[in-house]
Amino acid sequence: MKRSTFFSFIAPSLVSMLLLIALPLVAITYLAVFQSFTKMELKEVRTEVPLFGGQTREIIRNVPQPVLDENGNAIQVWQYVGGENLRSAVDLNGLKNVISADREIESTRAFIKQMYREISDVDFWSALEFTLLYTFVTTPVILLLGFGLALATNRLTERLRGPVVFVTLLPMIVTPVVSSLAVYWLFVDGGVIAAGLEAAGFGKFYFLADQFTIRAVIIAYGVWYAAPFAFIILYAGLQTVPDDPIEAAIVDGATPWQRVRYIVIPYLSPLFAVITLIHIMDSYRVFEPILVFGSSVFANSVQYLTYYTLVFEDSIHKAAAYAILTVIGVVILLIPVMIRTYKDQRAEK
Amino acid sequence: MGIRQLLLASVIAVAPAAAMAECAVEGNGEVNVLSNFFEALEVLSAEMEACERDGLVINNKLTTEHKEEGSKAFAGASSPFDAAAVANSSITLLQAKGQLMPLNDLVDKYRDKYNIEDGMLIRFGDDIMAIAFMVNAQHLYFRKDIFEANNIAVPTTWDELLTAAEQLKAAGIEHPYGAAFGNSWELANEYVNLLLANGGTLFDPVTSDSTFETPEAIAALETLGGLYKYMSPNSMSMDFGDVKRQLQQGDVAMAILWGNEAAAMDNPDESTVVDKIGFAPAPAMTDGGTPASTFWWDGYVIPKNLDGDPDLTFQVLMHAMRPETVQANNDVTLWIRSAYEPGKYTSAITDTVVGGAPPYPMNPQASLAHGALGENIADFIVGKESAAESLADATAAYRKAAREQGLLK
Amino acid sequence: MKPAKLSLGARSVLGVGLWCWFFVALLPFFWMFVISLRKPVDAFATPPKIFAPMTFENFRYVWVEDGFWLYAVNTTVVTAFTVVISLTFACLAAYALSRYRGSIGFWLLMAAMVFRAMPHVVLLTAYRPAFFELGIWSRYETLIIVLVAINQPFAIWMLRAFFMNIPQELDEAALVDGCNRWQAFYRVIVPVMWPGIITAGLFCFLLAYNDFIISSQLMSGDMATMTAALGSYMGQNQSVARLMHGIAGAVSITIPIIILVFLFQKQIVSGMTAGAVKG
Repeated sequence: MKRSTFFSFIAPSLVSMLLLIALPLVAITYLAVFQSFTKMELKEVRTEVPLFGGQTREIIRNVPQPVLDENGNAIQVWQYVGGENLRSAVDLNGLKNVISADREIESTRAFIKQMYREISDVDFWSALEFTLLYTFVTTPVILLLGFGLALATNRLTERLRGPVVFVTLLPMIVTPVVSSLAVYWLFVDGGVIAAGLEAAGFGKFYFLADQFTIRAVIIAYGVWYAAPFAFIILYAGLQTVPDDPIEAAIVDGATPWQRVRYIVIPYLSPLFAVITLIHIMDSYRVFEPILVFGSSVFANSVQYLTYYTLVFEDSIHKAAAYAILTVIGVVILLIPVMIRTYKDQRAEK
Repeated sequence: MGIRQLLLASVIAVAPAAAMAECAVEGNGEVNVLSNFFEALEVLSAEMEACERDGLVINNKLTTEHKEEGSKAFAGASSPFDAAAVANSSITLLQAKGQLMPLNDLVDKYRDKYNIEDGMLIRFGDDIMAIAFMVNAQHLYFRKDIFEANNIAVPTTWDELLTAAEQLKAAGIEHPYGAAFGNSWELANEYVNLLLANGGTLFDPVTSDSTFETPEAIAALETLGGLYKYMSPNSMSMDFGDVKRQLQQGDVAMAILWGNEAAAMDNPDESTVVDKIGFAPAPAMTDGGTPASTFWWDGYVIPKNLDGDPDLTFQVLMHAMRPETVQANNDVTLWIRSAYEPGKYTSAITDTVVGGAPPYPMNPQASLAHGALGENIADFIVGKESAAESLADATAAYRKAAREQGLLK
Repeated sequence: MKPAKLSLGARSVLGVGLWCWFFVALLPFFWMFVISLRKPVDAFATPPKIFAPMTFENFRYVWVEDGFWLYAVNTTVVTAFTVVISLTFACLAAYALSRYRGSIGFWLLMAAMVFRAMPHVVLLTAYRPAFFELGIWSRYETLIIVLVAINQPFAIWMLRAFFMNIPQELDEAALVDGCNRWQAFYRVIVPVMWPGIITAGLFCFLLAYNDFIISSQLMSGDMATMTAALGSYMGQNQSVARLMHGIAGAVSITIPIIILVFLFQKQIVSGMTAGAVKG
């Protein structure tokens, strides 16, 4: 294909991505180096507030009031602050203090624990901590669960496979906000799961009680949500495993487990790699369960932190700083993949 | 049912509809109103929308995300909302940023037509910035039957409340108390209630710097922390609605809740404890002190950047807030209008206010302090940090936020 | 792969495990459907009730009084346009990328991979101030074009995998017959690509339909999509009745998805495996 034809074909897609994905990345960099606010001054103001039955209470106090320009509009200040927003987002000074603080070192373990606690007190690091924890705990679990389900489904008759695939698709395809809520409602105080466990004689469970339980529930949600993806890919992969080496192995007296371990798993290993890659990309964006479980004290994510800062704190510049850190994280995660794809590309040529 | 009762019943049923029919709003156009979601606002929205006719379109958006939507709409070039319902704290930043329209001229123009009372006007200096319709305060909800059965008096101080919680726990009530500690705003609000009643303050009025790290503050925070062991372990992820549900399902024996939820306790569609809940003023921090609560007003504001007609919008709002609405919905909330007659669901609010509960501080600094506290004191409640450490974190967060808003140098 | 003959123990472990998964996968949805048909007092009763009187009041309220039908209309408009435009753009680009040998193509695909992994809130941080300043928020056009752009990286990768499977000889033959590239694409390639286009369309639909972060922030009031509207039922100060309406709304959002999965199960599976299995 000629270069000019190539460009005319990709133009609409390319323009939309440049305008609405690449340009916003430039824009957040710009927003992150500025600070803006309404210019205010303290003024003594008499306010009246109503009680009831026609009574009021009068209060005189200092209230910040907008400074107005000649047209009576509030003056907006827009200030260049350089790397200040980014520095405060990662709390550079705090980090320095944590590292240089004089401590009585009892044991290396206590020291690391203390450092860890202080660093994870900073919003960004604590959000990153749980995002990475979520990513790296769910990944092996979904691979195992997905593979197990694929093997089990592969044994079913043709007629039963359809319903199993249908049900399995639901957790990953239903709107994540809705599915997070549906899971959350099972775990609320006195909810179905807690009541079920109590009735079965396991005693009382409080799933939303502390850091450990909430994180466990969110990670369980993550497994429930992502395992179907691993399942579908591996199940499709199982259909393509050639029969010859397996029959040869049977002749050699290999047990079913040995056949899976030495023939099927190596054959499917590229699929495991693809699932891992895509799951890591998706996990890095974990958002809905954090939003729905309303538990950012115990478990926060990079994407939720930026969302919260942007929407609830209404602090665009701080949110932009978090967004930049998020992008840096994405690039770091993808560098190994990009290098590999680049090498493959070179090899093909 | 006799024919007379039947007639009477149908007259009562028709009466509010008849009141709605006489809508004297003049002018044509579109009015869009943004508000929070609770019953009094549902009543007012319905009254506004009853005014719709050819040439007059009225939309109400009731959403729990009203604060976020309002702040972004009023900051833009033109706001799709012509009016919004606000309260003590949510008005402060809007007012301080100069985004609200003074309503003095409109009040003068329509004072007689809609019988606007002075008590409804929220003034900043000479400017009327909002028209209020109800007041609200948090107070104690408790299970009359359980308190009686265990011979426990209604607590009037927080020490008594903690003692009562201990007694109830000893009597086999698993979780005597409920509170919305999972929502950082509610958590901070509960704390601010205790702090102000304990003689503490949130910020220095001259410098705008925070005053979080005082002995009063630590004492108030420790009292709040003392409650945690009487609550469901899940409380750190419960919001206000969850606590209300706990009371309605009989899971807890007492809670501090917003006064306007009282009637919902006796609604059999929602509640299993109809007629079993008593209401009392919020307990004080000290013997004979003021109730540890703040009182709030709810009202409507009109932004400067509205895309509609302020005159028309104002008429629609005032029509909804007229005395007939208050009379027809007397028990819904504590209305400000003099037409309101105190009832059993609001007496605890009035007692709390008459007992001297202060109005919630109407300063933007207070809103920022509230946010900073809510994000940080949970670490103390769950035992991750000491009270002093979590308040120090809150101070740092407040200073950062205040500097970003230009309130602090 | 043919299933191996297993011992009774191993067979029952796999069988029981599968049934457990079946139960776990369905339970959250099942319970949500059940409580959406109850009065508030029964829905969140402690301990939970297995049986309770049924009512359609929550659905009636949310659809009739709350105007959920309006959100459904918005969702329909937004998803329909997003799917059609996304597919048009992505098909052209993916076809070109599958046939072009230059290194620009490779770098574009790499950039698309980074874009695909980008958390959407990063983009929202820029959209929010820009769109408010321009006064173009809360409009169909704005949300549609944003969703189209966000859809591109993913759709290009998926469609490219399908195009790669169509032999080059096919379009070369058309070119020899005197077609130009556009004609070859339109007359020869598109007709054999329909299964791939339908599959990619399903995924574009899901992205637009399921999006919460962007839609809830760019659309306001009566312009909200169904998913975005859910946010206003879930925030603080919720009343239990309000929450019940939200649950009915959540169920209403789920039903079309279930129907979709039922009808297009094969295409969804082939779409998921297109990139992975076939390479």
